[in-house]
Amino acid sequence: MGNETLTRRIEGRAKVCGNARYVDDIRAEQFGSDFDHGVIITSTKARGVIRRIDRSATLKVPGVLAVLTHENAPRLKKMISLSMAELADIRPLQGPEVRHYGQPIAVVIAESPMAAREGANLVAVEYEDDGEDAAFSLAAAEGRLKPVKRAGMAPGKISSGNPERDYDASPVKHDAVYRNAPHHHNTMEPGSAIARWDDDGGVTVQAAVQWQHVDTLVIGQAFGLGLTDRLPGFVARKMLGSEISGKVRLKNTLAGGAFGRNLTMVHVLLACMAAKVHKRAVKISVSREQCFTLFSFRAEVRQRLRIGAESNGKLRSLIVEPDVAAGIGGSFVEPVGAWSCHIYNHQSRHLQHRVARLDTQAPGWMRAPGGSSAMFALETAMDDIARDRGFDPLDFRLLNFAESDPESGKEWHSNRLKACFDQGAEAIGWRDRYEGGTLRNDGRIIGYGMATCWETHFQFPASVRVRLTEAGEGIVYATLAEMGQGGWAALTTLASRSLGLPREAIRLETDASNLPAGAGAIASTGTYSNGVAIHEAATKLHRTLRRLAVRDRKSPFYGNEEATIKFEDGNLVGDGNLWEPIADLLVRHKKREIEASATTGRTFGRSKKAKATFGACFVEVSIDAITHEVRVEHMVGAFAGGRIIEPVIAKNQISGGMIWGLGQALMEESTIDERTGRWTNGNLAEALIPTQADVGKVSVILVEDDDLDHPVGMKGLSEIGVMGPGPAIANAIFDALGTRVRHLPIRIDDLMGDAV
Amino acid sequence: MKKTLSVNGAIHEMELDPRTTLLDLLRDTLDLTGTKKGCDHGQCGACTVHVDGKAVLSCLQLAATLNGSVTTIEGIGTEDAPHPIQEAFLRHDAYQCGFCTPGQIMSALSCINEGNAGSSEEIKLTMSGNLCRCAAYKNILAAVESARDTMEVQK
Repeated sequence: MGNETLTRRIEGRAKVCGNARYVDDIRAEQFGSDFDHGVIITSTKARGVIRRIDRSATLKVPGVLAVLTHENAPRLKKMISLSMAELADIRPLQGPEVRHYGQPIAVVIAESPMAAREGANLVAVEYEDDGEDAAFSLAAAEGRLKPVKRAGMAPGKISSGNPERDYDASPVKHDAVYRNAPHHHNTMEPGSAIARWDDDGGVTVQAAVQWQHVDTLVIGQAFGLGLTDRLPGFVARKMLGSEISGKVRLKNTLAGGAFGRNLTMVHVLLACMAAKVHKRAVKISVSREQCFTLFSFRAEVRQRLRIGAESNGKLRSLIVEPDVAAGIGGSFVEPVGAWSCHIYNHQSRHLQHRVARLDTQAPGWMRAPGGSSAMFALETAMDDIARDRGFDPLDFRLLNFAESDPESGKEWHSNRLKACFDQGAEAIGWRDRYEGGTLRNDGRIIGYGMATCWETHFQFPASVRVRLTEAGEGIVYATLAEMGQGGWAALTTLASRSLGLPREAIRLETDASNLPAGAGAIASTGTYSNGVAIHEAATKLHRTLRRLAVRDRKSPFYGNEEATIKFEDGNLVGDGNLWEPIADLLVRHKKREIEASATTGRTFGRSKKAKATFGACFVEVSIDAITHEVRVEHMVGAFAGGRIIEPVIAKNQISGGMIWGLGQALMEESTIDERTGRWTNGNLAEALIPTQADVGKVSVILVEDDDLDHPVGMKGLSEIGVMGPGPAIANAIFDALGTRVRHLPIRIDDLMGDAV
Repeated sequence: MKKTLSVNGAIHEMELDPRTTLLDLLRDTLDLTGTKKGCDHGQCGACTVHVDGKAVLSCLQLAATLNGSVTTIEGIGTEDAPHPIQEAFLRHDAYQCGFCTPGQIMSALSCINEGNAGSSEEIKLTMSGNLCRCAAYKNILAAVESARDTMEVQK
C-alpha cells in the first residue's frame, strides 16, 4: 500500500533496505551457478618487460586454484571499441610488455576472496627496463605533442574566418593559459565482474556497464564469437534479418555510480578470460587502489585561450588551443573544443587540439567531457575581460549572448539562457550583492562569481519492444543502465505518458540484450533515446487499438473517426464521454497481448536546429582572512533542460553535479609520481572528493523550457551542473581577494602571500 | 577459530579464519550483502554497521575480536515496513546509485540516537565520514533532519 508514493525510483525501496544487489553482491543463486574468485595483479612499473612471474608461493596457499598470466591466457582477437577505450589497442595478458603502471599482468583464481587476495600478495614479478624515458605529465612530454583531427566525438580542429588577424586587430586582448589537473571518477562501487562459459560456446557475464551493446560487441569480437556477436546489432539485423544471436549474454546490473567510467572495462574482459582457462565461472573484484589504474580517468588539460574583443566588449575572435594528455593506448581525447565556440557571439575562431600520449592508462569519458576544462577557461576569461573593461560579469555575458549557435550558424531549437541568468541572479542576490572583498563580522572575506553552463544534446539509435496485456499492463523491453541517474524511473514515466497507462501499470524489463540496439546511459541520452523509441512503439500500438475499436460493434467507438480517440489512464477516451479500458478491447478480440517494436535515432538526432541545455551558475564564497581557507557558502544553478520528466530526481542529480563541480574547483587532483608513474594518492583519504561537511547551501532552479520538438521533449541534465562551479568559484575568489588562479583545483597555497 | 556472533538478533556459531573482517563475514559468510565494501580501508564509510547500537566501520573490525551485537541495514526495517530513517530517505530522494546508502543510513541512525543531530552543521560534520560520489548530500541532510523529527515524536 502506498508503494508508489514514497519514491518514484523503481529500485528505491531495495536500495534503502539493503536489498539492491550490485555485482559484488551477486551470489550463486542470482548468477545461476557457483563461481570461484579472482584477484587481478597489476604492474608496479610503467614501462618494461616482464621477465618472470613466480607463482610458486601463490599456488601453495590453501584455496588457490590457478594463476592466469600472459603465458596461459587465451589469445584475443582485435576489438573495435565504439567507446574509444584502451582495449582496442592493448589487449590484456597477451604478452610480457608492460605499458603503464597498474596494468593487469595476472589473475589469481581461488575458492574464496580471501585466498585469492592472499595468493595475489605472494606473486613475485621480475621486470626488465626497456631503457626508454617515461613521461607522466604534459610538462614532461612537450616533445610528444601532436595535432589531432578528432577529439572525442567532436572535431580536433576548427577554423573559420581569420581569427589571428582579428585577434591582432582587437583593442581588447585576453591571452592566458589554463590548466585542469587529472582526476578520477572515484565511484563508490569499486567494481566486479562474473563470467561463465556455457555449453553452447557462449558466455554469460554479470557486470555493470553503461552501454550494453558496445560492451557485448567487444566481448564477442575478443573471443571470435559468431557474426551477430561481432557486429553492431542494427547492422547484423540488416544483414542477417535477425536479432543478436545471444552468445554473449551480458546481464547488466545496478551500478554504484558510473559517471563515464563503466565503458568497456578491462576487468570484465579479464573475468571472461579467467573463466575460459579455469573452465569454471570466475568473479573478479577490483580493489579501491586498483580503481586508479584499471579504469579510465579525466586526463590533464593545459589550454591556451586567446580572445579578441572590441572596445565595447563584443567578442571578435576565439583561439582555443588545448593540449590534452592521452594514455599509451585508446583513442579517446578530452573534447575541450566541443564547447568553447557554441556559447557567445563572435566573428572568427580557431581551435586546434594537440595530444601527448603519456605512459599511463588511457583516459576516457567523465561527466562533462571537455566541459570542465573548456568552460573553466572560457568563463574565467570572460570574467577577466569583464572586470578589465568595467562590466558587471553578468552584463558582459548578456552583451555577448548568441541568438543562434555561433559555431554551426543554426538557430537554437530553444534557448532560455537569459531566463537562467535572471532566475539564478535573483536567487543569489546578484544585483544587490556585497562588494567583493567585504570583510564579514566573523573574519571571513566575501566574494561572488558566476559562469555560463551549456551542454550539447544528441541522440543514439535505440530499439525497444512494448507489449500491452489484457491485464492492463504495459511491458517495456529496453536496455538502459541504472547508475543512480533515475533512468528506470524516467523511462517508466515516459512509457506511462506515451501509452496513456497509469504509472503503476508499467513494467520495465531492462535485461533485454537481444534487442538490436540500445542507447548507452551517457549524458541523459540513454533516457532520451529510449524514450523516443518507446513513444514510437506506443504510437504504433495506439494505431492498432484505434483500428480495432472503430471496427468493433461492441466498442463505444464503433464507426467513429480514429483520430478522435485518445489514451488516458489505461483507457481509450473520446468526445462525448466515450471511454473503454484497453484491456476490455484486447479481451474481446481474444488478444492476450499486442506488441510493437521501434528503432529510432538512426540519424543520431540530426536536425536543422541546434539543440543544447543552457544554464547559469552563481556562487558566494567566504574566505578566512588569515588562512585563506575557502568555503562555498551558496551555489545557485538555474538550468533550462526542456521537459523535466522527474523533477525531484532531476534536482538531486543536478545538485550532485554541482557538488562535483565544487570538488573539481577546490580539491580534486590525482597526483602521479614522476619517477614511477604511480598515482600517489590512489585511495579515498587522499584523492579528495567532497564530503557532507564541504557542502553549503545548494539551490537548483529548473527553468521552464517548454518549446518541445518532440513529445518526449527532455534535454540533458546529467552533466550541466558540473562545469559551472569551477569557474564561478575561481571568479568569486578573485572577487574576494583579487587573486586570479588559472588552474583547478585551487588550494590554499595558491592564495597565500596575498594580504587582505 | 570458533566464534559466536549476534547479527540482527540471530545467533551464529561459526568457524572462522582469524583474519576475517566483520565486513567480509557479513557479506561472504552470512550473505548479508546490504553492507558494502567501498574501499576496505576505513576511508569511505560504506561499510558502516552498528555494534551495540554504535556506528562502526566493519572493514576495520576483525570478527574474531568483536564483542557486542551487530545490526546491519537488513536489521532495521524491511521494504514493507521500513524504519523511519529508511522512509525519510525514500521521501527525500536521499540517494542516487544507492551504493553508499546503507552506510549513510546506519551512520544517520547513530547520529540521531547519540544526540548529534541537533543542527544541520552538527549532522554534516558527524556524517562527513560517509562519502557519496553521486553527492546526494543535500537530500541526505534533509532526510536525517526529517527522521530525527519523526523519531522524536515517536518517543
